[in-house]
Amino acid sequence: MPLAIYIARRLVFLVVALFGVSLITFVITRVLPGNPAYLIVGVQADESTLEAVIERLGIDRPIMEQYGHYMRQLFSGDLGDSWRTKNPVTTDFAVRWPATIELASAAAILSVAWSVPFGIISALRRRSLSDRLANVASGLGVSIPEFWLGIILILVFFFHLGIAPAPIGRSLGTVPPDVTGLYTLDSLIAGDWGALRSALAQLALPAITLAITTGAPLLRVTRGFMRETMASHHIRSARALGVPERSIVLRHALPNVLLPVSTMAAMMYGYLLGGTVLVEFVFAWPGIGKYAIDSINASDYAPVLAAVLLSACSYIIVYLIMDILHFIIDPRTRT
Amino acid sequence: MSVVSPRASGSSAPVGRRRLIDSARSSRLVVAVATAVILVVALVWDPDWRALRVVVSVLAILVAPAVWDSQRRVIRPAVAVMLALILMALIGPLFTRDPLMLSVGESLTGPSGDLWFGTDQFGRDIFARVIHGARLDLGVGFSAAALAVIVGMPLGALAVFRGGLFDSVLLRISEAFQSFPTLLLALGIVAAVGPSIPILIFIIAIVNVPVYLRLTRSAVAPIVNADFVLAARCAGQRELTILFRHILPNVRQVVLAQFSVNVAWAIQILAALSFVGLGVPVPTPEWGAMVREGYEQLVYGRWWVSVFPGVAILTTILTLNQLSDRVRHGT
Repeated sequence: MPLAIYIARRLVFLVVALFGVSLITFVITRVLPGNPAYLIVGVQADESTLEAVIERLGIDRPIMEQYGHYMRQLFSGDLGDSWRTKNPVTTDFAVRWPATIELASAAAILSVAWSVPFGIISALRRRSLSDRLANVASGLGVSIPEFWLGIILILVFFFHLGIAPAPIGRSLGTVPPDVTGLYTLDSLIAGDWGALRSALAQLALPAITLAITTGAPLLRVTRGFMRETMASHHIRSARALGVPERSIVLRHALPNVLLPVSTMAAMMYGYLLGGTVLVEFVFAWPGIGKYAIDSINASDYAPVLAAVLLSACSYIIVYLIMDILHFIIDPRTRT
Repeated sequence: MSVVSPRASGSSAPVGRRRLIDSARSSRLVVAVATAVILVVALVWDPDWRALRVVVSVLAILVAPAVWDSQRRVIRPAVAVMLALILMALIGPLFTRDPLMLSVGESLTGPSGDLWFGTDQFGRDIFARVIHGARLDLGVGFSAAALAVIVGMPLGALAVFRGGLFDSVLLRISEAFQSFPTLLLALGIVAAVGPSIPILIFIIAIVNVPVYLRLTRSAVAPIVNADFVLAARCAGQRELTILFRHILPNVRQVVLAQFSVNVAWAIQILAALSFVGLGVPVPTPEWGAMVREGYEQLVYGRWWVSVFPGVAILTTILTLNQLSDRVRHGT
């Protein structure tokens, strides 16, 4: 199947998936009990504001008409207004989205960096020390609640050892000039080493927290695939032919393992884009997750739904990109 | 909880041939599941502890042998810890102080021989709160996971059975559900409906239904046209009977392994929701909410307020995950 057709087919799936996602958020807002108008204006609002909102939302109209209206709003890029910040949600998102992307990306890089090599090494030596360590690490990493892990890291590295900076957001000192919105990249572009240091120091603990919890399942999967591959027939044949162990691992086993592992890593990244909520909250990281929680606590509803919708969409899109890359890399998917 | 069955091995029966289910094993399973259900109901809905004492004694007699692996002559640590946790949830509260009792004079004292885990900012006994918290966290975890299985498993099997449009619509819906980050979706629903314990159970169950749906679907698909199913059909059995009597028993091990993970997951979601202030209402002893209260004390170096409830969450989840591995590998 040619690439173009494959991409076209995947795009159709994308549309279906996005449609499903929008349907679910719609159901949450409009169909569940509770008057969304109250959620939007807050309970303290006076009658006329409430009626205006009801009018604008069209809550009194038939449900199908409401859905059509909702979709029209989404397509025109209108995610509603935040009652708390008095801005359109899209404006607020534009400020906070880079913070979440920076955290999620740093966490994903760290996570892959420790878990994949560890998984491969531990799979090669069964029952060795590294295998046991991998067992413990993946068991603990999967089980530890990330908000608590963040607190423990703050306790140890900030309060007791004094190595890490205070957990109060993205930057203590100067903010680099805005190009990409990612402080680390921006300070690199500006050549401001002080700002880079500060940005990295602030990023370290939250990113490590997430890297530990998301790396653990990746470690398991990598180790599982690697074990399976090393036990397969083509590896046995290579051994029988006298291929050196090094080249068996690097040339014959790794390519087979890295493909599924990269899919997992992409899924993990897609998940991270919406899964940094708790860590953002613990470290006062001014991203989408913290914005959503702050909004809920202020009974400000539109931002929450927008965050839910946005994270689901980014997951689907990351997954789609990975699928297409897979198609290009792996000839077996092209049949 | 067939986890406790010492012979719950050999899940990988060849596809297409029906495994002979020995009757002793399935009756043990029925008893275990029934106990678990009573347990859950008792944990959540019985404030007077009356049913609990009965359940505890029955449970203790029933599952005590399961702790001992007679073949390998070792104690199964995961099973033992899980039992200890359940016991802690059931009868632990009878032996502690009142978890809601305020005592200003004793506020924020560190761990000592008298108050093992110290006290929080209102002078409440953290040890008592951790023990009481077990009841709520385990209760909500088990209930939510059970609800998700009850809805998801038949739906998944039905999807394969019906096939066609029904199947693909269900699959698309669950895919859409699964592209939401679980916690954010739960947050969105809580924000819309408002938090209370039954609603929390319901929400955690909803976000987990697609997991069981897809799991059951993939486990049922290879056996739906197996000989034993065709034989049952030839014998004139009704479709629903075939589904519940002949097909679903074959997927229970996969589902049980997932169930254990799912309870852990549910507890994590509950703790996380409470941690950000959207879970249980304030004075209720719940582990995540306690970690949150302790977070504010960290600045003053008072680590015990959030460390101990966190250890409780970690221990519970770790144990449940280990149990799941056990079931999956049939040991």
